Amino acid sequence: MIEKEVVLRGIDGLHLRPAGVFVRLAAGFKSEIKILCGDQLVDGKSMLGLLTLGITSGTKFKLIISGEDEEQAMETLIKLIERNFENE
Amino acid sequence: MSETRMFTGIAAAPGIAIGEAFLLDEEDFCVVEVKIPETEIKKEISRYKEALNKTHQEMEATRNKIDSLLGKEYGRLAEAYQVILDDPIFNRDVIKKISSGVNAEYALYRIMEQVVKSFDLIEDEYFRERKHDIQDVGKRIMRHLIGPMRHSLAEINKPVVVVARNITPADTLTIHEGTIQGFVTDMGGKTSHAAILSQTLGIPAVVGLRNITATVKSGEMIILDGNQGIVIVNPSQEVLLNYQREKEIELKTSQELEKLRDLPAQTRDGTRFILAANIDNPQEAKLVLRYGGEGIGLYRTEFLYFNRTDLPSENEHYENYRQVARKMLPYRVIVRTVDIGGDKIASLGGMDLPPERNPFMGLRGIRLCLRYPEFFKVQLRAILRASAEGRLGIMYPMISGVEEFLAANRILAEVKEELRQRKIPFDENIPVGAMIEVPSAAMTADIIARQADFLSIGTNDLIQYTLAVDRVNENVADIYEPLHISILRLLKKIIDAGHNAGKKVTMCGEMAADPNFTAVLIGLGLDEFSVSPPAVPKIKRTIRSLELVEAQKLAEEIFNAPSRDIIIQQIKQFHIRQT
Repeated sequence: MIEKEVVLRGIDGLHLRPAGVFVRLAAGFKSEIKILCGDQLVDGKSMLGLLTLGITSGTKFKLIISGEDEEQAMETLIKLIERNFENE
Repeated sequence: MSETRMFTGIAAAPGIAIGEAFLLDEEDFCVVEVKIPETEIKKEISRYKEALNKTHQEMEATRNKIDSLLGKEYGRLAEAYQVILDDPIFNRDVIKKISSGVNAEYALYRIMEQVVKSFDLIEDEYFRERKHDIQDVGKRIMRHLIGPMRHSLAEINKPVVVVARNITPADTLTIHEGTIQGFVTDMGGKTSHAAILSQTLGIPAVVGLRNITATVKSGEMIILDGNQGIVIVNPSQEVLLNYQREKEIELKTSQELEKLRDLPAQTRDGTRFILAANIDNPQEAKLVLRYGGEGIGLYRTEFLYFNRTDLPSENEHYENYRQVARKMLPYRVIVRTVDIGGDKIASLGGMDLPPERNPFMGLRGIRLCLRYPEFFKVQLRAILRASAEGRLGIMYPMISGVEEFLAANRILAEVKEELRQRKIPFDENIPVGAMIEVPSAAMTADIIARQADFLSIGTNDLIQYTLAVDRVNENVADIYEPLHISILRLLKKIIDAGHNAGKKVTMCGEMAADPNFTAVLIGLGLDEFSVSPPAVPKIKRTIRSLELVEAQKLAEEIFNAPSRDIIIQQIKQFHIRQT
């Protein structure tokens, strides 16, 4: 299991569109992907889970990934966040 | 035939629509719990899965369509809906619930109820409101379980005016092109989904009518006036004829203006002008491009301070500027630093400033920013950071003399130095201009022009301050006259001052958007116009109909006219000669 803390920057919040992009990408990995924000832990492959976190610009959250492709998943998702959720 | 009824709402998308009402009623599913015996559970689950599949197919089938119809931005929204449908809540939780021995409808209903509850607890309004999107997806599945309950936009195959409680993104997925004449909704404001959608599609809309759905029946004749925000149900023959005529004229003009979009703003004798647009928020940038504006000559930033309880952060500023800068490339975007009064700042928990007796002449615009440099720097830093990603410019409002301009530039220089040290990229040569809207600045425009990279004339305030007329005061509004000789003299003074210093002069006030003044303005030597996006085509058409030499003659003529009446007369005659 690996985890990494990130802060949302560059976009207003993890709104419908960016959350959609995130979940789509996350769903492609075999690993279990969780997001911890405050004391709420949600499934990173669940759009509704992500939305209920209400992550706005400047919010800190943690990616917790475990499974066979965890390294690759972490790298891909972190890059997506750094790209401000723009598709490549 | 029942009587005529009239409603007033918010004009969300311009234009006139006439047609039969098509009532899109709220869906009210009546869900009953039915116990499912263990032997039947498998069957019930597969019935649910089939409904999921059908919803999937439905969304997939319309996704490409939405891409081509509404563009990529909306396409991604459609994708987000599909991601919601793929959510474990629908794929796992509902199925688990069915396994406990209840029917699929009830299981879905209960799970949805839980989701909505958890969303209601969210503090942030944006996220809380997303429950509607989720409910919407839930309803689509429900529809496949129960069968069609609600009329959907997909059923529409003749021209109608849609009357609905609200229009959701999912509704728009099923639109048949060319069938919907207009949208009338109970809910929503100028930036609601229905409003943005109608603007994107170019369909007139009136929103925020509260409960028009309760009073209109399908099939009733409706006139929708999206210019004024009026809806007339069962109009009289006379009203109907009037609106039909207006609609025809509108159609003809918009077809003509459409053709103008990609043509330059150039006089008949070949002089090109820059015709940019004014915007109040980032969403309007796409309107500017649609109407063929070449850049943004005035990006008002006050919107960042409205409808909130705290001051906007640097990142919020940055994000809004960056977005517009990128969207408008290769064109220039001039960001005007904030022009608000002290009372607003105080109400947002900033500096504690008492209310003023005459805020129009009080501590506002650049005065406020110079008094509170730290407050000012937040915005400047954001503009500079965003300047690395597009072609931005800065202009200061309410400049009354060169000292203020220089003082503001000193603060800007400090911010630039700070960014350099932090190795944050920005446009080192970002142009900085002064708004000329105070008579004292107009009188000393020659001195300011030597320091500024450009001058931008704000006619609304300039006229108001020069003539000492509050133009929203009905008692004196008739004295508000852009063609007053004093104004013409000031305009000439400002334009000449700019040119003598080798600087461009632009105008971003309402005078620039009135085609009656275009000839005079280009005759006086104005270089650039910045007008509201919908006014771009008509000013372009006017410029294209003029000869620069003729316009210069006109400007000279009226400049020596002894009275305002004669000026107006001369302009009228000029236009008759030109056409």
